[in-house]
Amino acid sequence: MQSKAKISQSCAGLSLLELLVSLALLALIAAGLAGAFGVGTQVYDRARALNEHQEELAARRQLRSALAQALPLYRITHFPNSFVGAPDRLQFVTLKETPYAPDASALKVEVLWASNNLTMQVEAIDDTGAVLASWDHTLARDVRNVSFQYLDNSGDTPDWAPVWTGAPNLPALVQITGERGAPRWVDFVVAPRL
Amino acid sequence: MNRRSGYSIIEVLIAFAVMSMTLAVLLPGQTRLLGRAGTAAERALAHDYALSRLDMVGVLGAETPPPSTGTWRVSEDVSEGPAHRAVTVSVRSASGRLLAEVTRTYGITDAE
Repeated sequence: MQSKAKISQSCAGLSLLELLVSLALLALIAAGLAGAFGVGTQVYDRARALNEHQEELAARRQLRSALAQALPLYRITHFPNSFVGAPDRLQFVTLKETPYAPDASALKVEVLWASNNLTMQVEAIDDTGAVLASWDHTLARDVRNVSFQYLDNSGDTPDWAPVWTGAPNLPALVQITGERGAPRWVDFVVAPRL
Repeated sequence: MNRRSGYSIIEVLIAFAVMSMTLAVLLPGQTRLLGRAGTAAERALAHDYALSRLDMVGVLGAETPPPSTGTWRVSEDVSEGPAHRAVTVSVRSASGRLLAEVTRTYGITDAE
């Protein structure tokens, strides 16, 4: 009898109370893990969006400094020089230095709005106009109603126009406007200074 | 032999409470970190906006209406000297937090 009781005691399972408590703990832990996983997903999405936005901001800064040093057409250069100001496209040559192409004579920059993306292509050129290296940057994704405007300040009253026809001079201001949700697009204005 | 090895319910509850407190401290920290990164991007954009505005002021004068800013509040301070004009553009968020403040000095003839 004694050995039978021992066997019965050693095979005893969990009590109902222990089972309920363990289930409640399991539920709490599962809820906590699900919450932590959700927060982790949000953190990942937000970090990725912020990273893209930071890249756009860096490209925006690069465009600002390049456009500020855009070459007027009357400047005599060895390499081909051009300035194109269109409603959806801007192209210019800049003397802005870049550490990534130390042998380049200048940078040829094209800003283009296509498929609701505002992109910038930079080409490092030598004295003959040959391309030494090129880079593509995104200024803004999913941006709508983009408009390029060029300010002619040579007359009595300043005049904004969607096409630049004042060659060989450069426009007094170049403005890029657009519409976007989050992160929003803020109007971009630069005065070429050369 | 009667003694069953393992943790008591009190020990499990204490461990669970410690884990909950640790998570409660860590998760809001992650959220704050993201908030700060977002604020840094907004500051960079506000700084770029201030540079845009200063370029406009340099060509068209301070009387020109600024570009739209959404929820930002923009203030401009112009101080004139005998041969120069200093313009300070301040950009604040809707809650009044300073995002960017940039000053540029122009020759009087440049800004007129």
